[in-house]
Amino acid sequence: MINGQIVEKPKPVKRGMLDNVLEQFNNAADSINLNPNVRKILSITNTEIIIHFPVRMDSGEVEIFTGYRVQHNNALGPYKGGLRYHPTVDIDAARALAMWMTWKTSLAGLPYGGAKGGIQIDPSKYSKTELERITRRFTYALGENIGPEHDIPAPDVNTNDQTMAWIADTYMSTKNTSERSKNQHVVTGKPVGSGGLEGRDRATGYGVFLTIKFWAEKNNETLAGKTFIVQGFGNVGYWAAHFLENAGAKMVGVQDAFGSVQNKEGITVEDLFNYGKANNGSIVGFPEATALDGKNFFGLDCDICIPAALGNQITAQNAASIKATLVAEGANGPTDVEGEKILLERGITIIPDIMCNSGGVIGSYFEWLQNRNGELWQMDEILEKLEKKLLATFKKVSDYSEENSVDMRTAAFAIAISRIEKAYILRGIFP
Amino acid sequence: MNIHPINLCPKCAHAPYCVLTHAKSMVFSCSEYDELQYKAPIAQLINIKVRKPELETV
Repeated sequence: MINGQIVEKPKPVKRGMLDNVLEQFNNAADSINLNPNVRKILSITNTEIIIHFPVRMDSGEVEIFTGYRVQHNNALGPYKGGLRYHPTVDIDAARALAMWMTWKTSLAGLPYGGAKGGIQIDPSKYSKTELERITRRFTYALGENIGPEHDIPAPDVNTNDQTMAWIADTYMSTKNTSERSKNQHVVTGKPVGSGGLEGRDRATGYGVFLTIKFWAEKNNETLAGKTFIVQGFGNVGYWAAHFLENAGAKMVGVQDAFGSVQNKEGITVEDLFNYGKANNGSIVGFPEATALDGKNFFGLDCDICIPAALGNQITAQNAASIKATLVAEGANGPTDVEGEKILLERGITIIPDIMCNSGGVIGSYFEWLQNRNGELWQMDEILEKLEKKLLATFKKVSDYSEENSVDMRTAAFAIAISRIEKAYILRGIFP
Repeated sequence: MNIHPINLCPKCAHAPYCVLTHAKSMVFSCSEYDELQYKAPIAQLINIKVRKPELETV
């Protein structure tokens, strides 16, 4: 029990939903000959919290909700990870995603561990005022299981800066008056006017661009004149495309939920973005491009392919048709195991998701630091710090990959897990 | 559509026409995901008087 809440005994993480998470861990652990005791520790979660809590609805009725928080590992620092509101949120989902966060924060060189959680809820069935009460009651119920130096949630599916502002306000309200402002960094992803980070919206997309830039520089190539395609034109895809275009690259294909468009001569990123805004988010019908059958999207002629929407997009079915020489994984898990094997055999470089889309969590770290130190950073210095941080990670992964003749994904996981192993070896196991 | 333990598609506003994937039972993360709009407050929907806070009725 922690503060009166049920804390489940940690169980081994189940295979099934996110086999890749465990498979990648085990492969990397084998490749670095991970200390067997550390392997045991990292194979399970540290803490699993399930909370049932009541909330009064607009109708006056009371409903009981179930919330989760899984804290996988904190060897490197406070737990860090998102909170999602969705009917499919459960303890197994949170376990796998929490584990993933541990590797991601470790690889990024952040002083964080990994966590994930959420509420099993369909938000479309509730009003905004009900969601506010649900969020605040869940925050209160979590109590000291979260905290600015213990576990720092962030936005995820169906949660946003408003949700984070409610959590921060509720958490701070439970503290003594003089302590309240010291607790603002209990969550990241807050609105800019309420402790949030300038430029947080573009941090992930800018990170995707940076890793592509570093890859080009390493290979003595320039981005000017390079062609790219991007799947997903949301925050990640749009901003990655925006920065690539600024660097002289040419966008020749885009796919979103509505359809796919292409133009060998180039599609102006801002024009497409503005067209989408005026057309309920759809890029279909953009006058400066032609429509394309979605099945052929990844086979478009280009230098760089950026899957920035969802998982399992590059598979055994389409990997052989990809013409790009670089795949930059802006989404989580866009290349499956078979697809990756084919790409690597064909000599195509993959910038793995765990590094490629880590700009978001690095941005969260900057927000946390800014709040913790009582500072307000400007956009230019934030982007500069992000570049410095990502470059250090890219160099480590690239060097490890070359020195050990392994692909960048294997290198990234090896570095992430080794860093945690080192922390355990240095500090030992209590008692 | 199968219900996968982590599956965003069934509640996504784009699900009926989305071209991004045919594997709509296995999506745990998606940049295009849009939840259906929040429900309007019930008082607004059925035009009833909002309950007064309970403490005021004591």
